[in-house]
Amino acid sequence: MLRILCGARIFNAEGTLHALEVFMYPYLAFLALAFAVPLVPLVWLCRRNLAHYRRTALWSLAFVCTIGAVWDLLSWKTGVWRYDSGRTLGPWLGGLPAEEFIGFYLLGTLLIVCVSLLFISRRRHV
Amino acid sequence: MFERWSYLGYTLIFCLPPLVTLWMRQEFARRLAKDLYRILAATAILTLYGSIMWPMALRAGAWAYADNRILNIKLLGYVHFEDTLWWLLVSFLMASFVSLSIRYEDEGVDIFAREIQGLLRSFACALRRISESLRPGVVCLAFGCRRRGGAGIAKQRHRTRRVPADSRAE
Repeated sequence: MLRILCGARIFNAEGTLHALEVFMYPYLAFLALAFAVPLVPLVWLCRRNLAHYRRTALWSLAFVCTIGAVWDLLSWKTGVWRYDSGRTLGPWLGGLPAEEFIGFYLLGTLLIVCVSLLFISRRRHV
Repeated sequence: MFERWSYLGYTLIFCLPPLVTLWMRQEFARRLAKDLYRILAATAILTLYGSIMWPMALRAGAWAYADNRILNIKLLGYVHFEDTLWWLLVSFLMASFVSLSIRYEDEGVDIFAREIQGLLRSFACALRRISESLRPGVVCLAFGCRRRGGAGIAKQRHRTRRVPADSRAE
């Protein structure tokens, strides 16, 4: 995979991503690339299941936004991971960049829920 | 807290208890077992996807790990072991929850709401019992309990104390 990407000149000689470095906000660009792009076809494929099982989707979001946020904050506070403040959008909520909440919590959770729904409930409602 | 085991430790601490709760409870396990292969397939796809994407985020500088908080073991020389484990456990947990929740939704039950209500009721009941043993009257006012437990028990105690006194007077 890495070689394919290098061949496509997405990585430069030092192994840094060209495509994402073009953006001022690599975290936002990454979230868009990793979550938003695959979510478009996934949400379209799962639209009936999502509408039918909206409680499941909402509970998953609630679960991630509470326990996931605590986990995230704990990891950030204890220094497991860190964000470059110069390369994030700017607003910080409780020590975490704003894009974390929209991109990671909302889109990331939706991605996992959609893939799960696609595998688990396809036979019943599509 | 766990030094270089921190990332691994937090991942296990936050993922294993809910996973054990989901899979060890017989009522849930019976339903989950029917979707086991589908759950595993969703988990495998998501883990593979996350394991490819996460190193890209690290290279792009989206976030960074502290070297003294991770094991520094890279699978295939590409992805951190903890990142793969994170995706594996989180995907398995979420897929299990989705599977369970949609099965209950089909039966017209909001399982998460039911479990939270049950949990809160258990806490309230336990708290009520503890408080009753300390100060019987105050607890009933605080919890507004009329039927079971609290006030009921307090009244019964009151009656049982009175009866011998009344009988003595007669």
